[in-house]
Amino acid sequence: MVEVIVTWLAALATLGIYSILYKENPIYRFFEHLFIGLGLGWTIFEVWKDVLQPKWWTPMVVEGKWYWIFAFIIGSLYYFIFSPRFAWMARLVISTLMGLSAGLVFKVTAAIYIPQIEASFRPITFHPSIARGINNLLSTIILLCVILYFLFTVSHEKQPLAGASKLGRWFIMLGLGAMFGSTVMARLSLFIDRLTFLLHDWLKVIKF
Amino acid sequence: MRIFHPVKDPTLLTVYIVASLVGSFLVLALMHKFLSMRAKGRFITALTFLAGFFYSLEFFLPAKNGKNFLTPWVEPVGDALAVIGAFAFPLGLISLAVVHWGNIRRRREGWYFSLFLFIAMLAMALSAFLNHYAHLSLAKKIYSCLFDGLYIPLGVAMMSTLAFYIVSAAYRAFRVTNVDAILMMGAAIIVMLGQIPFGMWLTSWLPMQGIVSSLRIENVSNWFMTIVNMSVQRAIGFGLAVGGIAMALRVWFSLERGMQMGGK
Amino acid sequence: MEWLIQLRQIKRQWIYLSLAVLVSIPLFFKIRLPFFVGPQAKGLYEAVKDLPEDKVVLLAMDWGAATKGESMWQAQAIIEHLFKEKKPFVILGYDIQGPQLSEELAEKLAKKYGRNYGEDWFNVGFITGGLPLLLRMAKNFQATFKQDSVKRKPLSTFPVARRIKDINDIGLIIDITGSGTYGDWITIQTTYKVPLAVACTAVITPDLYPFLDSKQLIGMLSGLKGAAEYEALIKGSHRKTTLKMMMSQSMAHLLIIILIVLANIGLYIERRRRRSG
Repeated sequence: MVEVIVTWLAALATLGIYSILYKENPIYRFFEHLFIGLGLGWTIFEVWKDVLQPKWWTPMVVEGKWYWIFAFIIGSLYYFIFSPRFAWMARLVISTLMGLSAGLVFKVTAAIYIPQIEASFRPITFHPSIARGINNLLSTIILLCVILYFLFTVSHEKQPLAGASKLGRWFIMLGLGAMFGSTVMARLSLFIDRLTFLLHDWLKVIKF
Repeated sequence: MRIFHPVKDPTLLTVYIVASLVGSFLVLALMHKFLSMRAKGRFITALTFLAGFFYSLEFFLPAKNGKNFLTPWVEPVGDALAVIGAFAFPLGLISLAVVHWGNIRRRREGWYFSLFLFIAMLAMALSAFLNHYAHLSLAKKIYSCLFDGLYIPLGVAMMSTLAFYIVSAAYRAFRVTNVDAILMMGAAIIVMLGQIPFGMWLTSWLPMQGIVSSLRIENVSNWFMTIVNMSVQRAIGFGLAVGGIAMALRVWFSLERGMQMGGK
Repeated sequence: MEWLIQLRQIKRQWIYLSLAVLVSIPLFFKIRLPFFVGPQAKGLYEAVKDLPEDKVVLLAMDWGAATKGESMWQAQAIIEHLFKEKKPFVILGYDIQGPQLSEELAEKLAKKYGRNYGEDWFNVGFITGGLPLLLRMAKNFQATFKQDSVKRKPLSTFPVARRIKDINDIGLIIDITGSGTYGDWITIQTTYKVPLAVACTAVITPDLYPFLDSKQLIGMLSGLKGAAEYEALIKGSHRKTTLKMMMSQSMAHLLIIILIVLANIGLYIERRRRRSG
């Protein structure tokens, strides 16, 4: 019985959201506000259940690690952002956390991009495979031209930088086209999934 | 240090917690009263700088058996950051509540939608807590209806409307008027056709093996993605990485506007 | 010729209706078109098949309801393959919803393959703490996660959890993501050299090709197409469904291409008319 109610609710919610495609209407606004409210309520529960209770409340109250109260004190400084007089306390926390995150960037960048730099150096030989040689040469040219396009320290008015920069822009256009093609598939997949739910799970007019 | 050992006695625990709260309040009050705006700014800058040292030193300092003196602190700092971040969540809640409560109080147009928002929030939170902690079967049913029947489908449906918008936007905005647009369109068509069975059907008459097989749309699309797109994305990634490091350094040294208090 | 110029001004509601109708057609009628599996999906498939007996797979479910249309099908196919091949796995995730939604998938598939929670898989749930937590997990898995998220029991209760002491016991990490969370997993891969594959939404697929080229990733599933490819490889329960959905994709993509062509024809004629008159 609950499954049937859940399916019908899901279908009505989906159609309610799709009503915006015709024009703005109260049904859509109702479901929109419902979604925000449900999201907030669920997040309150999840933040307590998966973060605050196991990582703060239990260690502090059950295990006796009293020093976790400082996490609460530091966290509550955020709320002073609402007061112009005491806002510096909120900035204290925000800036410190931003500093911590900034320190992490070096490790992450090194781990992600050092192998990328290594992989950029490709052998440009046509033996044993001509195709591989052409691909390596093309990759290297594309990489250099696109990097040059973003190099704003030097002027791009004179050759050879002007030509390389123009080529770089054209290659970026190719990359953007690829991103567009991929994005189209991603967005359409979400709709196809919803349509499948409506026709198969709700109306049961199609079978797989 | 013994003072940081776990405390089992509830009274002593309460005393420590209350003392910490009072002590912190006093320190902050004294800082607020006696430090000038400039001094507060300098204090924030110094703290930011020290904080930035933690992860960067832990990465750069030589390690013995994979550890240096900062490594044991990575775990508790990570946990503390997660908890502090969780305490920041109600900030968004407060902002939303202020806006929607204002709508209800002033009976602005559509105020009843704001009322639905609060009802939904309370219903979801209550049913989730009762389901999880009290194991009430009615709460479980209501939670299932709200979560599986409304919250998840609403989220999916909202994102899926993007499919319609992208089709409409492509139709209205994609104008092939110059070389850049031609290149972008060409790349998009190759990638799109290479992904779908219809595109694969168009070139299915070509052999599967041999040099001519490279002209099959799925192979052309794969070559395009693994050579052309890969190189472009890598170059863009390098640019982003350099920019990211520059930005991180600016944040670390508090060179960004808005990170200063009372100074320039 | 006037009608060609008018093709530039089709009302958006008609476009939306056309999309909905065209996408539905393959769901009602069987359309047989060829579908080939790419090398990236094969890479992931081979990695799962060749996983050593003593290793566990780590599934990072970093997706939520917003990307369910792609990520759920990918997660389903991967979990089914792991059950089929009897490869133990652990579920965790940066997204609050991912591990919960995946657990529902795993429980449904476990019934079909006779697999048991705790012996064949377990779920750590939503994790916070970002990269520092992952680095801690890599050094000491048992100390990082006190209990599982389903039965709320200590990890030592579960046979498969007892096998994981640190990152050396993980034979493969598969990150199923709808956003940029793969960065942390790539950091783990570079630091500990554990094989990593990503099943991502099609939006971020182009960003991942450099990592495939540098061998930081050994395989990739791209959106719904990747899910359909994987279902075809494993001969999964949902291969017909995902293939039908790919046929719907075909119709939608064709519609977009036709609309863009029509709009540009209209634009070209209008411009020519302006130049001549």
